[in-house]
Amino acid sequence: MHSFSSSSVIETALPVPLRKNVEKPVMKTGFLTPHKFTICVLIELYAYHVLSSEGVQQLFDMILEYYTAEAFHPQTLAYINSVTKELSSSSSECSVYDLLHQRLWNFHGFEDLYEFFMGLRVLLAAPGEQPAEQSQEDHLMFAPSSVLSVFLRKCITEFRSFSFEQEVQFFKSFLSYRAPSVEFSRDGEALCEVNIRHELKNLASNPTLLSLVLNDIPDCHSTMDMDSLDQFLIQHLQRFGANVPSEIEKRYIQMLNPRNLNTSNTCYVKFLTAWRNGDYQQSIEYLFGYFDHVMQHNEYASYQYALLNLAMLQADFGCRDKAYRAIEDAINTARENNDTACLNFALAWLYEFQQQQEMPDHVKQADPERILQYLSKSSQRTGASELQCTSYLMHVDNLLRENTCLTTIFSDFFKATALQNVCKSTQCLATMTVQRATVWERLCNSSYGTLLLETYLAYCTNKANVIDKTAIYIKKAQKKALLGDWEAAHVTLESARGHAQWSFQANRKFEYELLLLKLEKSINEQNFRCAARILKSISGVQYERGAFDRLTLLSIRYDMALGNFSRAMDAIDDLSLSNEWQSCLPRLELKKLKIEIYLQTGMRKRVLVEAIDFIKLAAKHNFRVYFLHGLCLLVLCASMKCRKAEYLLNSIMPDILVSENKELCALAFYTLATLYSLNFERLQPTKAFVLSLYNASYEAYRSCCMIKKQKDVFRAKILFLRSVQDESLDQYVEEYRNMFFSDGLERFENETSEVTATV
Amino acid sequence: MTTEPVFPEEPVLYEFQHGLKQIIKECMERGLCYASRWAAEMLNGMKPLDLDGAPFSSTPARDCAELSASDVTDALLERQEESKYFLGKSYFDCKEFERAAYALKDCKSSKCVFVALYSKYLVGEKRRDEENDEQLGVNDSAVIVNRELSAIAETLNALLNNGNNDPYLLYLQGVILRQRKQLEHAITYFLKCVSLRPFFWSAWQELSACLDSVETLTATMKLLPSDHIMTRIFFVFASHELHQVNSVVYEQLEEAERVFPSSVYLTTQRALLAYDARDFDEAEEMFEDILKNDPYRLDDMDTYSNILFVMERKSKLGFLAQVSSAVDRFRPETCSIIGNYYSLLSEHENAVTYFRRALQLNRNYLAAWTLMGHEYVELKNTHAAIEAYRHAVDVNRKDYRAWYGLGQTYEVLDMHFYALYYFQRATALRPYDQRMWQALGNCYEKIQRPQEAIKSYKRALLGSPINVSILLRLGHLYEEQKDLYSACLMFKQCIKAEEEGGETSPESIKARMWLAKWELDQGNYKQAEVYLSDVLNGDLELEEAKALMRELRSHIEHKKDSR
Repeated sequence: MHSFSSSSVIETALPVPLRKNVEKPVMKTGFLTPHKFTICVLIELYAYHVLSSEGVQQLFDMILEYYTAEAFHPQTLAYINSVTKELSSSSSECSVYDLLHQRLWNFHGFEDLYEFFMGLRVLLAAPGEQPAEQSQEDHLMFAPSSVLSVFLRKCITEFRSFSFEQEVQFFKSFLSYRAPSVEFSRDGEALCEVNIRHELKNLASNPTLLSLVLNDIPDCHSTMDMDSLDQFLIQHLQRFGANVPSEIEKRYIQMLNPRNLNTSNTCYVKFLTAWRNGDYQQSIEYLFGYFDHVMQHNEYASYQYALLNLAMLQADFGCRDKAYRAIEDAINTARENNDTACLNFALAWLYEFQQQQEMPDHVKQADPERILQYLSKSSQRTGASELQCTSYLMHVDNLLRENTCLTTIFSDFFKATALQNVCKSTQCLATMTVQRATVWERLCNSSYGTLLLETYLAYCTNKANVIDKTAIYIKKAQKKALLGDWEAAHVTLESARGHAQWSFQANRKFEYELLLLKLEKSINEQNFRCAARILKSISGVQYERGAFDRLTLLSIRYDMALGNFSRAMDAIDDLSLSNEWQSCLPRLELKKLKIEIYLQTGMRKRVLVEAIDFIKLAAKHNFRVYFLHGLCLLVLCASMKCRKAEYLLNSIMPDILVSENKELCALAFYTLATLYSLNFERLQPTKAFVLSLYNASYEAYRSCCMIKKQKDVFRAKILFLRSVQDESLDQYVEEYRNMFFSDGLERFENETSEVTATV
Repeated sequence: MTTEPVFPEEPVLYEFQHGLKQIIKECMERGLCYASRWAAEMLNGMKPLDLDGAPFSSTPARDCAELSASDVTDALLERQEESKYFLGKSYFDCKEFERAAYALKDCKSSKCVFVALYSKYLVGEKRRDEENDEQLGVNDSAVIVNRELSAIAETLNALLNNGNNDPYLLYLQGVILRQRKQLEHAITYFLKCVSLRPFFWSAWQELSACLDSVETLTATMKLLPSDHIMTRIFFVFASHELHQVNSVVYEQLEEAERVFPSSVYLTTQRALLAYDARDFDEAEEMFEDILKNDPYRLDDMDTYSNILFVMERKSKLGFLAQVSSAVDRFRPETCSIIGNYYSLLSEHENAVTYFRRALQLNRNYLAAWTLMGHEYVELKNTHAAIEAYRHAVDVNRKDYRAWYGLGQTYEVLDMHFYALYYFQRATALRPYDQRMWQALGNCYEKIQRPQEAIKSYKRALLGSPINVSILLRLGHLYEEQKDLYSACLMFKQCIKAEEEGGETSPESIKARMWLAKWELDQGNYKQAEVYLSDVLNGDLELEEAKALMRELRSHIEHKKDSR
């Protein structure tokens, strides 16, 4: 054993002329790195009773950090210096780092490393030998199963398996690792003085020989660390659905780049990264690369997973046909191999594809209900709680589109929540939150839905997937837009931008939603140029079916806004006949548009017929907002008795106000105001009340940026003012005219007179 | 052979320079790169000459005058076949030897014929190595020979019988004959060759390889011009190969160094001679200088590693291994150095791996065979060790280490009669090496032949430093032979040697004990007491010494009483 002298002058092997601006070679080891070697030195110090009792605890903590190679602490001497420089050793004059430093600078050549590792063997007790405390030696001995013993054995075994060249490389990498410590000082004094070992002085004086010995100093990376980093990255990429933080990515690139060390995990990381970045070609290439590596070891068992991944990838990039074929093949292979887990996942994805994307024509779709039933049972049987939870939520999704039965929906929610609690997973929480918000929105309790979303964003975003986070923000923005709060919708979406940029998928979702919202706003504002530009840019993009349906509806609304009613009507009729548009919500949307067209074209009887149908449908499927909307339209267009109409409107008004849906509120106010203005004499409201109803309606429409509707409200208001024939109010009439009809007063006057005549 | 140390005159030096330049050119044309490299090194190692004193023409007139009709014809043929030659030589340079031989098959000029035949020879060597690719494996066989030899020999015989005296064809013929173990004939051809091209080093090397004893060397030296610088260099080289280092060799080397004062080759030879003489300190110093001056040179660095191994210079050996590995890790020398490094760390399995690698790179790399044998001995794998040593002696029968190793291995196996033969071979090769004789004496002892053992031990002490263990053995042997006076003499020498050396050894203690008993028996109590008190001052044999002392005291008292 060496002696730990307190001399400040240490002989070093050689000065280290590190060449700069040269691409460093990489030495790949299994476990051992210069940093772990340094920890071995610390263990040796501990074994020879050099550490004080407080230092031992710190040492143990540090060893455990690197023991399993799961943690990503920096592997630098500076880090060890920061941990150990304040720790006192058994000698009061020196800190633990001082002793470590001295010992490290006593390694002059790679042969010293060999001797060190051979010397470590005396610290390892053989099975059955006395453990450390009872040892009669001047040093501790570690029991075979102790953490320290295992750590040392790992290092010794690996070092002994090195070839000569590897030993040399390892020593060089150690020199590189140790080099920064030349700068370390204690109380302003340098810790060591660089000298050359006497025996080598003559040879080392030759610069050529020295450069031969010290050329190509490599970076040493252990494959175990790299695998562990790979695993971490994969987990990160999968769990958060986003690219890794830049610091980790930098380290990863630093470890991998120089020699393209492609392991299977590395390929998988690259695949996920390329996918997240939206690089289809690269991601496909790396995915194949990954399975080339994996299937070498486990040939057939991995094939179905390769197909599954491929299908997901292709579906994500819009290659629906290929994706469907891949998933079909994955299902068949999984069945052949009796791989239930893979089969379940493949079926889940198949269901998702069917729901999200239009299937190719030749594909015979499987019955979604059956898939879900099978999934639910199978995942329960195999104990795949997360998948079972997902299957319940998929069912909810299906019910939300198709069914009236809210009881089943809530039952599924409870089951899914219970499963989440059991498996302590928050993976499905975002989906469930969005679905719950949708349900409450449908039940006209918007504030509760908002509360759910806010809660999620406040408490769950730390561990949430980026795509989920973006989805929540988008849902929140949609709600805001629906409520007519465009400003808030925009702000919400902007706050999603920061998260979305971490992932291609999330960003795509975000960008699409942003465009849809902008389009809707442009149509409302009658900003046709902007709307046309957005429609043009968005029309070629293939995306989720829900979003695509919204786009279709908006393009019909665009036609309507332009006055192309016949074209809009044709589109509505076509869609009504299409299979994809037979579920409840799309039908309601189509009917709403149809009613709007009828309203605008003055076909009131048809409005009545459609409105009654609309109300029936909405009532049947618990779409309360639509139901209230239908009732308002009914009152507006039907020749109801004024008292009954007033009663009806007053009875639904609290629900409408609770819904916080500004468009609905505006319609309700407008309807009530119109009712009062038409039956002013009979119902005898105050003029101010009627005017305030018009004003409220106007404000609500203005908030929704619905220019045309605002004009309609003003038109009605002017008509009302004229009809009441109050001279004191004439000035306001003029003012309103100047504000809104300055560009075509005559035309609107004609229109208003028509409306008056009709009323 | 002794000569007056006279510095060569300037014209002679110009002649040397011209000769070296000529050989460099010719060897390069024929693909003899090592000979060319050697000549170039020597040329650069020459003392700088005054250009003003150089002959006017670059080609000395003597050469032109000596051109025979056949030379002229050959020159004309060479001119005619120039394009063919370029084609064949380019294939040769690309290591496409068969293709080169095929391209030049119809050529008639000596140069083209040489390149064609030499290519064929190399093809045969390559094939032989491929067939022998497994070292010490089941398929390993030393019987496999170069299959092209007969065809080449046939062509060469026809040419040489027709009066072709091309030095390179003569060289090739010599090589073929040496391969066929016709050493005498080979020597004749090599002598002819070197007389025509004295600076053609490969021929000298081959000539040396044909010499298996000092006698043949002496005989060959008589046939060579004694005053030529190359004869001197050859003598140094051959003496080293035969491990015969004496003052004449050093004289010759000095002569050579006068002409080539900065030759790395000669410096290396001097270091090798020091190594042979077991002057490790000087050898190490010289090798260190060589390494410093020519950091990329790996030739003979394996010997340097042997020196560092013996001197247990672990750091330096590690450094050397690192340097050689950085220069070229696929050189046999590098593998051998690394093998030595591992051997010093007692990592014998790793050492074997590297020696094996060296042999994969060059099957005829003698040092690796021997060193691998040593490693197998350390690993107690005696059969493998014997096989490795056997390969070593097959490659070079002059390697005393391999013979000695074989003897040692058989000794480990308690096959002393067998071991005896090998030790005898070793002593024949190293007549002044104490270790060889000591081993032989030990072997004789084991097979109960004390007279021969005594002779061997005595021979071991001849001209070598005093070795106390040998003296002790001799003492015991004389004791067994009842020649107690001689035994006493030996033990006394043993003590004397110890006193000169200044260190007490177990052997000297034993010698003192024996002498104490002897003096006691002789009644020389005082002298016996002196010996015993010396023993009692040490740590060994204390109990026995005390008992003897008690006996001595009782004798003294008894003597007093009797008076």
